[in-house]
Amino acid sequence: MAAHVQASSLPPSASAEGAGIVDGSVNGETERLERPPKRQNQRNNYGSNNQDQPDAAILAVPSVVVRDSGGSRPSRLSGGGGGGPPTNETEEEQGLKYGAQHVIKLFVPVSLCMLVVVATINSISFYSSTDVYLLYTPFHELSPEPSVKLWNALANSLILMSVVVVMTILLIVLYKKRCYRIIHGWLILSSFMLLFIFTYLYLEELLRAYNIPMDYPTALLIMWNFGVVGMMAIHWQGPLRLQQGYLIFVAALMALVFIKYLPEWTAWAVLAAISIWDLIAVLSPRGPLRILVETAQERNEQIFPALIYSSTVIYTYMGTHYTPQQSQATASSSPSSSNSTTTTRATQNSLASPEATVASGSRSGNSRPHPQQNNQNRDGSNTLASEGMPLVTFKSNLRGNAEAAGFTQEWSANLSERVARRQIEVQSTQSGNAQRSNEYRTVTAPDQSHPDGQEERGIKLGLGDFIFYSVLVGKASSYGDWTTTIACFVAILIGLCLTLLLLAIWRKALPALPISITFGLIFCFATSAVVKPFMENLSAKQVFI
Amino acid sequence: MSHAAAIWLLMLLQGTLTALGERTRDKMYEPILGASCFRRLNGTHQTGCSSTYSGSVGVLHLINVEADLEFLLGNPPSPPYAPLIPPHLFTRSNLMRLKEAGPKNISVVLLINNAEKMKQFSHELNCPNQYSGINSSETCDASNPANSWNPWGTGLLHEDFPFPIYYIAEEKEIDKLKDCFEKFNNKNYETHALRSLCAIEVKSFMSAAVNTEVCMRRTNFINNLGGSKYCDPLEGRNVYATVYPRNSTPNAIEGTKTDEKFILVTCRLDTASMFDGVGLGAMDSVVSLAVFTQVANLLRQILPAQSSLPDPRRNVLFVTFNGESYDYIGSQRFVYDMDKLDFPPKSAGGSPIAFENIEFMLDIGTLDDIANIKLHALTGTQLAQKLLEQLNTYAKSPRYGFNVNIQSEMSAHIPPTSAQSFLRRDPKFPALILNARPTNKYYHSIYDDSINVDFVYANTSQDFTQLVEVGDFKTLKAESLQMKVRNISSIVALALYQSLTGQEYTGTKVANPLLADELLYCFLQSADCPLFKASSYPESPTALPLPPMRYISVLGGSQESSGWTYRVLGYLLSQQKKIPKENCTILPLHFFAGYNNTGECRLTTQNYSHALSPAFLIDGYDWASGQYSTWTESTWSQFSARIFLRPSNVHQVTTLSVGIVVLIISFCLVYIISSRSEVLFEDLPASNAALFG
Amino acid sequence: MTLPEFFGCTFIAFGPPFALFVFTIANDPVRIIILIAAAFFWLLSLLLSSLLWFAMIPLRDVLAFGVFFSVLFQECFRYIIYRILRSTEQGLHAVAEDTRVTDNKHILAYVSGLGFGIISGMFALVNVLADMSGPGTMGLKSGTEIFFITSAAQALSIILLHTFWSVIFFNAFDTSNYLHICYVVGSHLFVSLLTLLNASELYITTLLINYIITIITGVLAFRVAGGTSRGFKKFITCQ
Repeated sequence: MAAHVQASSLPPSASAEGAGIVDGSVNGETERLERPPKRQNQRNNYGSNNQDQPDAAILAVPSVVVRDSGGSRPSRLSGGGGGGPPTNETEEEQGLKYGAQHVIKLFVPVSLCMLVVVATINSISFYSSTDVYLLYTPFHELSPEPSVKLWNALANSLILMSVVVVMTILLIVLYKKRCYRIIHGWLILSSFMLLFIFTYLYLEELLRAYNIPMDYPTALLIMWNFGVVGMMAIHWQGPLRLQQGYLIFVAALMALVFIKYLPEWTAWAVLAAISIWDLIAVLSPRGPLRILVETAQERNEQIFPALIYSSTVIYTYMGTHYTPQQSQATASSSPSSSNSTTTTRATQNSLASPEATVASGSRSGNSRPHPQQNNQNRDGSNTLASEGMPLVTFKSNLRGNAEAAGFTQEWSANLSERVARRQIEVQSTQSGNAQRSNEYRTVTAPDQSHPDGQEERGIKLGLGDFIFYSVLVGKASSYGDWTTTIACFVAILIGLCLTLLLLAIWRKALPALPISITFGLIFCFATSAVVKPFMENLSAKQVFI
Repeated sequence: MSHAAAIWLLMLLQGTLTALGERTRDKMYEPILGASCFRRLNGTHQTGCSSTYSGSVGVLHLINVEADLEFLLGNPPSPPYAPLIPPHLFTRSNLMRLKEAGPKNISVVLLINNAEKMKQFSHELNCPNQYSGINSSETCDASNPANSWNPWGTGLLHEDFPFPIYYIAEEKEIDKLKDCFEKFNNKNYETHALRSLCAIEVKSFMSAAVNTEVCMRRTNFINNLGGSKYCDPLEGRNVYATVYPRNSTPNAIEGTKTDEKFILVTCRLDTASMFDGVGLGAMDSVVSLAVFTQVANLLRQILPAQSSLPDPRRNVLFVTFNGESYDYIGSQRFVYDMDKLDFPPKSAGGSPIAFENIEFMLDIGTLDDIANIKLHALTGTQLAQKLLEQLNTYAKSPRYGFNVNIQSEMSAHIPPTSAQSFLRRDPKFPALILNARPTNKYYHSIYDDSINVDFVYANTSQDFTQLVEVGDFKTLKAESLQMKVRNISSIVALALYQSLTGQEYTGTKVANPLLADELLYCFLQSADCPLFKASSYPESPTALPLPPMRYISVLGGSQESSGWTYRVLGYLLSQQKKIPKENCTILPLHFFAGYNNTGECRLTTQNYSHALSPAFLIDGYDWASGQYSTWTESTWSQFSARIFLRPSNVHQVTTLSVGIVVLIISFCLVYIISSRSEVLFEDLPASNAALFG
Repeated sequence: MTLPEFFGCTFIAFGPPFALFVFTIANDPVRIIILIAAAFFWLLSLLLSSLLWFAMIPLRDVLAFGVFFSVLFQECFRYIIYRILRSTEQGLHAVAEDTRVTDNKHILAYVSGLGFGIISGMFALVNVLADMSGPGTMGLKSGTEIFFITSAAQALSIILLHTFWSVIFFNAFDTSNYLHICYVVGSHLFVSLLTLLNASELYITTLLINYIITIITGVLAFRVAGGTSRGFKKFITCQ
């Protein structure tokens, strides 16, 4: 649920980091990675990045890397900063520039998700009427008294939130204890349920809403294909667009489930509560999500990649993964000597926009865009994942099983596999055999990166954010007033923009819900209470302002 | 200062209530209140009507005379149309012609409540429940309506229509329709296609189709998590009570028969009509229900204690069957249960009653013409003869002056009443039926109401529970319905008294006509009535001032009529006990408000039994076999109708083409401009350059 | 179902802005963001004017009052967005992928104006459009059949006007041309108050005048943005 959007620079750093990683792998594999360098170093070092790089490159076994990084660097700098070494300002600007692109890359899926939800709400009456309730909302707000409804809603949201908190903590405990199998199984199961059962429910209601008869063989065939492709796309691999499409759909489905099963006022209360929780969990020093992320970084793992929407490929490519995680990991411990340079760089990349600038520079140099931000995104994803967990779990509980939970956590399921794979890859790179690993790591290398087309690292947003944005807009549209819906939509997008802006300024993981949801709630209620009558008066008399 | 703020706040709060804008659609649409025809299914067919999924739209066209129909049936200029038909033109032949014209021409049929020229109006078949009674061609002859049980029947209730039929009762709503028709449609019929016309949209989509077998299969198939239903079996509750409390102690082992002997007195509880929620069935069953209730009340009050009867095991079992309009659902189930020794239901306690325990059955059928009643039996038996004599003893007795002549008919020409279910199981079953010659021209229709039975509420506010002297008319006229009901129910009750005690009744107390008055009022005009209040728990919420729904409905339906009957029977067939209210909580003790609303604790005998056709209980039942009732009712999501102006095709096409042209032009224009903008904006003002200098 | 009517009116009102969006906005993320930000500011202005209208209970039925202040609020927010855009121009310049956004300052004005226009048109029309998709049309109780099509045409003119106004307005503040500022505020007021006549179904009058004003404003915006008749001739003759 919590979303973090992090803007980080990728490609250039990636190359450097990649090199560093290679070193690390050569030396001591993962252990080394688990000890990140200090942050201060990184910041201070930033200026020396360029100088460091050669070393890193040299350290890196593949010669390609060295070449690429060396070649691309200068060009980037010149391109992005307008010549000369990048100053902080220019870096920032370029961060923003790429930010703009990524903001749009988030706008599109978020809008699509809302579109699906709003269209569904307006065409399938099943989802706009609440007659069955979740186990977690024992108070059904049946009383006409507003005061009773209010305490019902508060109690419901309190219960829901406590479930969320408990599940988050459970997840952290499981994760700390390295119970990967449990998490894995849980995620697979829940994603399975979501992709099959909820989708089937949706299909059925869709067919009913349009009174389309369909025979069971056809329906089963559709369901089977849809579900299996979805499982593969989400958990294993598939075309990027397909994966994104599935994630959007899955988020929309979850949002619909919330809209359907939460009582009126509870839904609003939950929206408010979840954004507050998001704030706490991500920002407070002992916030569970933060702990989760830090743990993951210490272990140098990508926690729950399935919990986030990414404008790039999520599965694959361990090489890149290392770097981002390190960046945050760096915060705590001291780096090993050999790695220090690389790690520091990595951290810099992730933490600071300078990297971003680098990335942009690289992009210009390469004449093809390398959206940065991966590093931090990844962190974001982690946090997301952790946040997503609670959502998932609570949902799953509702349904009796972990069905609902799945989508967000599905990704995490892959985790152990991934770790294993990554190690393999690392080894292979060591030996120099595995081309693939090389490619991934040497993001900057234009030749190698191009074929995959996957290295373009995008910004990432938690599916939880998708869900709650859509819940807000869907709920607003269920009142039948389109101006309210549009106002909510615009407010949420602006909130997202602001969050991203703050991200660029503060350079740390931020929860994406609070600003957007606050704006959305304000505009939803203000519009339906004040603006709507005004606009209706105007449009009834055909007065235009 | 604070005052001003408070006032301002108050005004704001008030303002919130009034600050309601009007949506455009409120100006476009005008809702029309009414009742819709809906779909029912049996084992082989679907009947009734359904709109299209998104709602059927038709252009209003008022039919004043039959010739107006020709306009619609010929080659109407702007189909589909929605004829507004007054009842006297709502005939089978007209409806069939509209049906043949097809949904392309006729999409909605509106029935308006304009009873002026109406002579008859019955949607039931000539032979109601023809295929579920005793299997004899003599019972009813559909080919010869004069000899049938419903000579005026059109059978429209059993037709399937491809369009919705919507009944508009209120004068105000009818005026809206007529005004709209006059204003927009009733001129220049040739140019209909070019004008916007006043049209109506009716939404009454039925989710079930084909027949009960199909829709039950769809409903029962575990195919969804939501558990959607397509149809529900018609389902309700029979109400029964005994005149003497049964020995409820379970001395008998389960399943063993009792040695009690029962006289079964039955009647019908429900009615039917084509439109949802309309139709009182006054003549076809409320009158007999009133007689039935009066008989019960009178018998309980005049009979001596059970132990002083010649045979103390004798008792009278009063049962009123639900769902009889739909192939005898209630009585079929009753017979089925009794065969399996499942009656009374386990929950009610008491040892099971078998057919051997029933001495005879007296079924009170439809009493259209109360002065002209026949006692029917399948074969002439001594029992029938004896009862006929007893009935006539009191009917003709000068002491009571009822002056009723009860004839008998011992043949297979049996009226369509509950007794047929019993006779079908065993033709030798001692079933006697009191039934009048059919004179009801509005059988099973929306017009079978208090006017049809000529009922005027006396509203005397006097005690209706006590018996009265035979000469006391209680301000009612001798020929009033209440008096007729009093007479026939007294006759029946006294005859039964004689059967039970073996002695002639010599008292002068007879049934109270005010009880009939109150009961008819409750069932025909308002459930917020003294009788229902007296038989409710004290201080229970008052009922709506509408007559209770008497359609059997489905599980979860209102079940108003059986509920009220249950209370009324409980109240009238019980004995008052001196038990304080606190101890009067466990059945059979029941606390009633009583006539004076003082509260009385009574020892009751009434109970419910399930009226769901056995067809839905039997695994693998052959739906087409016709053995049991298979009626189901389709589910629907809403009934609604609204009128609006339907734009002409010309208007629509114009709008659309203008839109498309604008779209295309703007795309071309913008593309050209944006691709050649440097030509257009060749010299930038100096200020521009300055900005970035 | 009068879906044809629905699509017809949608195309009329939003076809041109959609074309503008597709060809001039969609391929630049910065412009999209500015567009949405402008829409947001318009929303804020609407919220303020609604609040005022809502609070002035006795004047609720006097729409002219609400319209008047709404126009003023909109122009205020146009100024605010002008200040914001100008103050972040340097940043934008560095950020923008397509340097034209900032090189030609009219593009900023145009984008924000289009944002104002689109959201304004949407708010005015979206509920009407939604009601249009039913089976009926206007005219049963009040109003005429051309209600929808005139609404759509009015909305289009308002969308275009907002775009032009912003171009003129931004430029006027850049060059301290107070006449232009007055023209923008005045014509906005005039157009909005003129539409009050729609209530008495003087559609043709209002539409005609509004489109005349739209064209005048368009020409003015064209000139302000650096267009000349010579360039126009060249453009027309495809040189």
